Amino acid sequence: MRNNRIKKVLVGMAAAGLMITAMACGNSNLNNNNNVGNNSNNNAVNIEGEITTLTFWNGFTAADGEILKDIVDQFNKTNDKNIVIEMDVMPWANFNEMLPPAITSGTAPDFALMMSTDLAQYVENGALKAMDDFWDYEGVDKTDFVETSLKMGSLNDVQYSIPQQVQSFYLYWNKDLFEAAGLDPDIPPITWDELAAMAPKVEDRENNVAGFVLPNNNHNILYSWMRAYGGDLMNRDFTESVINSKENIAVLTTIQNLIVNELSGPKIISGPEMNNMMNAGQLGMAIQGPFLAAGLETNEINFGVTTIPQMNMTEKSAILEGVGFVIPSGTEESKVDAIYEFVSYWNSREIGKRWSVEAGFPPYLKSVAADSDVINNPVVSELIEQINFAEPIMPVFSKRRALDSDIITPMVEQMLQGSSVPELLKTADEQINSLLK
Amino acid sequence: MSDKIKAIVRFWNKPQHAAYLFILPAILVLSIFTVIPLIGTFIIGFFNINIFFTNTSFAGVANFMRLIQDSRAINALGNTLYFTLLQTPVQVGVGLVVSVLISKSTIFNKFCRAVFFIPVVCSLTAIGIIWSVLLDGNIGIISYYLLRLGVQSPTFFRDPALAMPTVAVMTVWANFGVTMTILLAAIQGVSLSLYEAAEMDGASKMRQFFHITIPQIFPALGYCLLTNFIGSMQVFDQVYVTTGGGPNFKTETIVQYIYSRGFTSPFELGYASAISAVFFAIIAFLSLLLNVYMSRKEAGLS
Repeated sequence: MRNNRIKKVLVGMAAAGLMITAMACGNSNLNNNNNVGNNSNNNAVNIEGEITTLTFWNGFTAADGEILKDIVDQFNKTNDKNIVIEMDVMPWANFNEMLPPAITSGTAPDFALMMSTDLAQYVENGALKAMDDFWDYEGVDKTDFVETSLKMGSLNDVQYSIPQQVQSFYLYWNKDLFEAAGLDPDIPPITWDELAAMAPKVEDRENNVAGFVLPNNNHNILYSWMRAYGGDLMNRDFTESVINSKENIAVLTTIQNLIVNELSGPKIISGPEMNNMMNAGQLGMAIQGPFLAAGLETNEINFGVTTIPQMNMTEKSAILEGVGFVIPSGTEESKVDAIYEFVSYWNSREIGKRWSVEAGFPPYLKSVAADSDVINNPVVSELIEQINFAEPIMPVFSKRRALDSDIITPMVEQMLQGSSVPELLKTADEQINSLLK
Repeated sequence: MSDKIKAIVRFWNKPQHAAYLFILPAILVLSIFTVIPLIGTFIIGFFNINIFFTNTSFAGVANFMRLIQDSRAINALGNTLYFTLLQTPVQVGVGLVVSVLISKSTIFNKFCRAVFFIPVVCSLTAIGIIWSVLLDGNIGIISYYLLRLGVQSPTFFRDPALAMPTVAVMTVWANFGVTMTILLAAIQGVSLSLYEAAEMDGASKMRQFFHITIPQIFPALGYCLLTNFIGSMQVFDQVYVTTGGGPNFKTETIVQYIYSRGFTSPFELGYASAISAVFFAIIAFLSLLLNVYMSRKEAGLS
């Protein structure tokens, strides 16, 4: 009797133990998959005066991400303050899904990179620390930064983000296709009117060549074109929509005519597809960020890059976007100095020059822009000029993404399928006003 | 005291009561990971919460009322039903036909079974990306060959009318291996004497298929239809990767709409939860109908 009972108890305990282990194993698998930042946080060693470990998240998953990793490794080896940075990379879309819950649950990285267009919603929810005291850090020279690059990270006169890179949108053109169309391959369109005239000529249906396209998910081209002609989306304090204006009607009608009537390009195409067409030598002109240059060079396309088209040469305008360093609000105060050490390392002449020349981005530090290697680089020197007059649009507007995908994308898609432009602008006007409420 | 303990032990030792102890772990896991989040979702639907958990406020039935008037949500539901009606019958049909064709255990058939199952183990996201490059209207290889033949290539994933059918075809290609495998097992369970008797009576292969095979494997067929239906209603991966919901929201499905409300700016988790709760009720109701219909048919056939 007794032995039987002991046996039963032992079997019961073994079963319970197995069950709990099984559940725990299942749980930790879930945790490992969902919490990228968690592991590195647990490794943070902070023995007094010894190594300071910083966790760092960003979205640089492409070729430029490898240069970034290299620079971080170099910093880890050469810095004299015993700082070690552990970098975690994920696509930007995932980044914006994972960072908010990480901040809310206290598992956020010590610092991160953030796209300028995403900054406002984090600031509005109190998720980021102010970085104004960065200017007091040793060796930092605020005057070296181009004004507009600082504007991108500043909301309500508080600096929430220090620039890591800036980009604007440039006109790339395929010189071989220009020549085949009978146009001078070294003369790109300077104004939007010229672009609208050249695109139908470059287009060649039979060889599957398009002249110009408007992507449906990246609206910087549309916004640039609209603003060049004096139109805009909203008023200065984002309280009212001004999209239904005669300037915008004119611009949208021109684009509609170009794509729908003159068939200069496919009607529905996404940004990455536009890049692919350009890389395949099947697109005459594309307006895109600096990173397109690297792909074109790899694919041996005979291309040129220049300032984005304007309305006229006296009132130049362009859109400035960028990526900046941010510090989540939960980061310990003791780590902020170590973070500033890396931020000032990044924004030094040596690293700034390396990033510009190797990754192909225009410099925003005056000392880097004046460097002879940078000036002599043919692609980068073209990119610099535009930075001087490019401005961020909607920097404090936290609903930018909703505006882009819920209102402007359908408007663009319907416009390129031939719907009435005045009607579309009227609908967009109403939708923007209800978004702003 | 020990009398009480003895009484409890005796109670739980009875087979019909001990059974509950055995299924207790499974019930616990299901409750913690399915039932409680489900109830939680329903409750969150009554609040306005964003992903930072700031500005949380009680919203009453406002989210549900907003859902009824939301044309984009209704459009998403319609697209999801359209996708399901395209995909489920075709996939089960293709799975059925293929499983009949390879039901004999020759080496070639065994090879086919393995090969047809390969798309099933591949990630739907990877399949979506590869298909969208192949079918790209400008630089895809399919469009290149069509151009060589002198035909203007359709733009598949970017064409308003063709986008959803293309996604459905791609999903059928990716998943028919599952249906095929399940039905294969069912077909091989049908006793050969039935076929022999039919042969002797002079029935053709087609008649044998419709009057012996299908009724015999009906339970497995019903299972495939039902699980496929439920899975199709929740489609997200492949649509998001290939069309992103476009063009002009013509391929936006309910799960993608929920994702766009809750996990992208402006992160309205309350509204997304309300949509999820209502969608759960809709799928449950439709599945129940389908299940009842299948059971009646099954009863009728046996």
